[in-house]
Amino acid sequence: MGLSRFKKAACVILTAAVLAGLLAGCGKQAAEGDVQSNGSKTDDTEEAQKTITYWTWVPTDSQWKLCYDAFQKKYPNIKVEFWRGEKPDYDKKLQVAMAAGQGPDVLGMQVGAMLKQYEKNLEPIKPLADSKWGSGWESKLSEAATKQTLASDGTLVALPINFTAQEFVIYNKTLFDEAGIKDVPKTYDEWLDVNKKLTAKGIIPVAFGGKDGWHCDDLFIALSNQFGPGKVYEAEAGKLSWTDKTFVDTMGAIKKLFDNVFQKGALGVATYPDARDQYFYSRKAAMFPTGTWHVSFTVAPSGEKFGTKIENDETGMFILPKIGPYDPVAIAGVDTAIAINKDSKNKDAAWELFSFMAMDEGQQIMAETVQGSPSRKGITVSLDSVKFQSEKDAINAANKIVAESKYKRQLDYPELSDALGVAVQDVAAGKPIDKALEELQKVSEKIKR
Amino acid sequence: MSIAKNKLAKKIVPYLYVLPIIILSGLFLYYCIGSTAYTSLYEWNGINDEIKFIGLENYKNLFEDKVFYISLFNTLIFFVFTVGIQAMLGLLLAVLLRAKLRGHTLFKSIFFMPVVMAPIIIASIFRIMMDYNLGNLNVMLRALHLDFLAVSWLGDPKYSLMSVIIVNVFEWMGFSMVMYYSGLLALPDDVFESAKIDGAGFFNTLFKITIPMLKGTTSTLIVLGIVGSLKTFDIVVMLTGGGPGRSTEFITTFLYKRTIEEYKAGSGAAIGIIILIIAFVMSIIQIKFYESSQKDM
Amino acid sequence: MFSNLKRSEKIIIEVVLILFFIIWLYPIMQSVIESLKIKGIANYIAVLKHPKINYPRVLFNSFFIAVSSSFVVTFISSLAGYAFSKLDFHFKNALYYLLIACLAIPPASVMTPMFSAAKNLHLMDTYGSIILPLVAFNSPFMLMVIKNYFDSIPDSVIEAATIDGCSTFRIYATMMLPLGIPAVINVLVLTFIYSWNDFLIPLLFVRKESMYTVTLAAQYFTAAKNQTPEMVAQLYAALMLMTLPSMIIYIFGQKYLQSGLTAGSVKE
Repeated sequence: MGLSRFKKAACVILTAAVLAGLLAGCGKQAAEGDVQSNGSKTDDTEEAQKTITYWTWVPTDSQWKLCYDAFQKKYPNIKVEFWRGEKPDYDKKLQVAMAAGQGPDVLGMQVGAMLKQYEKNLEPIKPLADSKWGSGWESKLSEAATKQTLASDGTLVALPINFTAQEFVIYNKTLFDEAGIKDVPKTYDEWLDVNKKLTAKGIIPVAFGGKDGWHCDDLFIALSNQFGPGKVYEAEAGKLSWTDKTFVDTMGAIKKLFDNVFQKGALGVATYPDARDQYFYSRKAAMFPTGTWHVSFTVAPSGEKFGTKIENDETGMFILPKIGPYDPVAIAGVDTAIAINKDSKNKDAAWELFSFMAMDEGQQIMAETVQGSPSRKGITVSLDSVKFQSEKDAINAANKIVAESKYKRQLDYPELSDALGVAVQDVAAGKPIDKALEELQKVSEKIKR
Repeated sequence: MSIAKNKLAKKIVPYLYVLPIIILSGLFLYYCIGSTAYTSLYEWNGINDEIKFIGLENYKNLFEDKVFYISLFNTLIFFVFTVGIQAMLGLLLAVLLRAKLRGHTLFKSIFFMPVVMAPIIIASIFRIMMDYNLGNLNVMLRALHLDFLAVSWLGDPKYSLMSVIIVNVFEWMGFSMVMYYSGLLALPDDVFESAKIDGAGFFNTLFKITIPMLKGTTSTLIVLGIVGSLKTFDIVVMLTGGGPGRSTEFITTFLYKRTIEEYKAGSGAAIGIIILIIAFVMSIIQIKFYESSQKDM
Repeated sequence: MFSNLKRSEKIIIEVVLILFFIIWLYPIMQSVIESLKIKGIANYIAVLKHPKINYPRVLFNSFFIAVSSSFVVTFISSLAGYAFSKLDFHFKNALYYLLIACLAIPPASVMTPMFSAAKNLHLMDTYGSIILPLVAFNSPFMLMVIKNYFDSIPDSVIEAATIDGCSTFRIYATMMLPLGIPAVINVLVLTFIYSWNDFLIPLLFVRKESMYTVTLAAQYFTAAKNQTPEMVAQLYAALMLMTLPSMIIYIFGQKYLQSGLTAGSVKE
């Protein structure tokens, strides 16, 4: 019983300590807050600190560190409270905060559906840009990229931070060499041939992440342009039925890919991190289909490749081989855009950050970390830290393809993206193509365009 | 103190006990429910102030949506199996642990550990273990020459829901076990003693005495299972993302797609309200069932 | 049932337990192995030394939030559980069912009202904005656990005390709580774990780095499609470290449960 009394006493003391900590913590919290609010209230003087908030999912924390260091040198008076989370988490946080009028000053935007929903809450860019950058600034940016950051009525409400394209295949050249494969596959038949040689060596040829709806969408949209260039965008706009022959053929090709080219069980594998880490970086698979953002993995010393089993292997990239009657094309999309909140109380400071990221040093930094390609024209990046020529080629090719691409990646209607991913997975799992496409068409018909 | 005053106090006192929970929890939650019910009557993207009254349109659209029924059906299957398996395993292990043989503290901690682990780790590990080509599960099955069992656990619509159920059992069985274990600890020893004297064996005692006496715990677990199934989200999203196809689409993944990805706050709210109603009706049935069985005892 | 087991019975019990133990241990070991990939134990050190994470602060935040919500939840749900179980009053069932109905609220569908509630109560940027929703969401569930447990305590125990003229509060404090120790401990521990592990509520409400919780700090090991394999391993390490306090609380709770039970039965 003595012990029990001791325990009771211990509990009381513990609770008291917690409560004391609580009060102390709150006091501290309040004090910190006071300093900050004082700082931001007296913003008339030159030296006054302005604090703005920036929420996004890209730049990543390590990229942001580089950006922010450079930004603070340029604008020592502007403090940025940066928040980054994964895209689904960001979506939740942003939606709830914006609905309550508590959104950040500067925010990350995804083009397509997200931009269309937020467009009314975003500051139009052109008037600000004309006054701050002077006329003619548009020519400094890739037109293909800025075309995607327009609101439905054509107002520019965001600017791209980076630009990426799909659907590519990253491959392990060293493994190809070991299996006696000289060239990368350019057609479906060549691909089967390459796979046969790799399988004979005990290597899984292709690791595709079919669990991800976005990846199934990318595969379909890229491939459909081999069967009917541009048709998929007509269907997106509701002007063409999804049961059109183009899509039937595309689905047929997809079924063939899942049955004969991709690894078995691909529908249960996530592109990131499983297909990449468990298969490709573990040297168990020789090819890894993904997008141009991935070429940064060879940039030393921080590239993903280093520290894995393929760090000494030579790698490269090729576009999804030709399966349809038309040549393979890339579908390009603004990976991340940046925008200013219409309700921001600190638009001047927000503009400086916006300008820094979308037009100035930020573009150089993002290009150097090869998070996709910059939308600012004429940015060059040194590739000295990339070891192999084929890897340098891959980065250069990625930038070139992205700049030239005519086809867009993201669909404007999320319910369509969702249903398309499901249709691709259904077909891959054995559902009749016409049935899967009919269901997709039904979803498409319900969309209010 | 007069008798009348005392009587009045007696009438008021019970409310004082429930007042704190009503203020801190009830008001907050009913504000949320009310607001959700209100939103469910509108067309709204969840962000700006363009909001349009459309009556019961959101509900009507849901009842015409095939995906809604698929997700409800998947959730129901999931509920039946997870609650059943978790309760049975949890009870079995709690009873065995109650014998307090060597190592029982360690066993108990390991069984409980998945409950405190982040779902993202559990999902990631099982994605790796259940991989068709490289996963250790299939590697082991092939080594045992059980190749026909080495299926694509997460990539085949035939097995994906089952795999999600397996992972959920792994995650939550420890919870049932702990609930049963504390229930067992509270059972007076003399009940078992008298059973022993009557010559009842282990299983006889288990089915005739232990299980009936743990009815309260079982009832709690069933209600929590109903609610838990209707709320299961993280583990499904990270394991399968609702796929392949719609094979593991749950009511919550459907709700998430509607609310967050498709910016249909009104429709999402309608799903939320339907989830609430289903859970409420099912829980009440369970509680009533439990209460009537208590009276029989 | 549990005493004087035969030797053969003991062996069967041990074998079954060890079998399940292995099944449960294996994925946990895999998690540990994944967390040691590429750089081994250095992953854990990298997590603890991460330049962006102020550990004392982050741990304090999580502890403070989890401890306060578990105490508040236990207090209010045991009070209400006692009333719903042992006292008589009008609308008793209706009130109980109304609270239980809240069990199934999917947090994803009430995010927006939750946020506006916290804003209107002027809780933004305070711990209250996190603790209040945690208390609100956990209470109905814990109320049910406690009420069901109290139901199993025979009314006769209380009737005797009532005749002796004990006040209801004295019955609650000196009889129900000690007798209900298993449920009370479970509720304390579970609320702690749920609050500690919660991600959504801090995600929505925390806007300053000084208020980051352990779950939010884990975000530093994600980087969209740029998450390196090393970061993946570090994320595992961070998440495994995160489970430690919950496990300690759980083990402590189980120990206390045993001694508390014995103490309770002595008093009876």
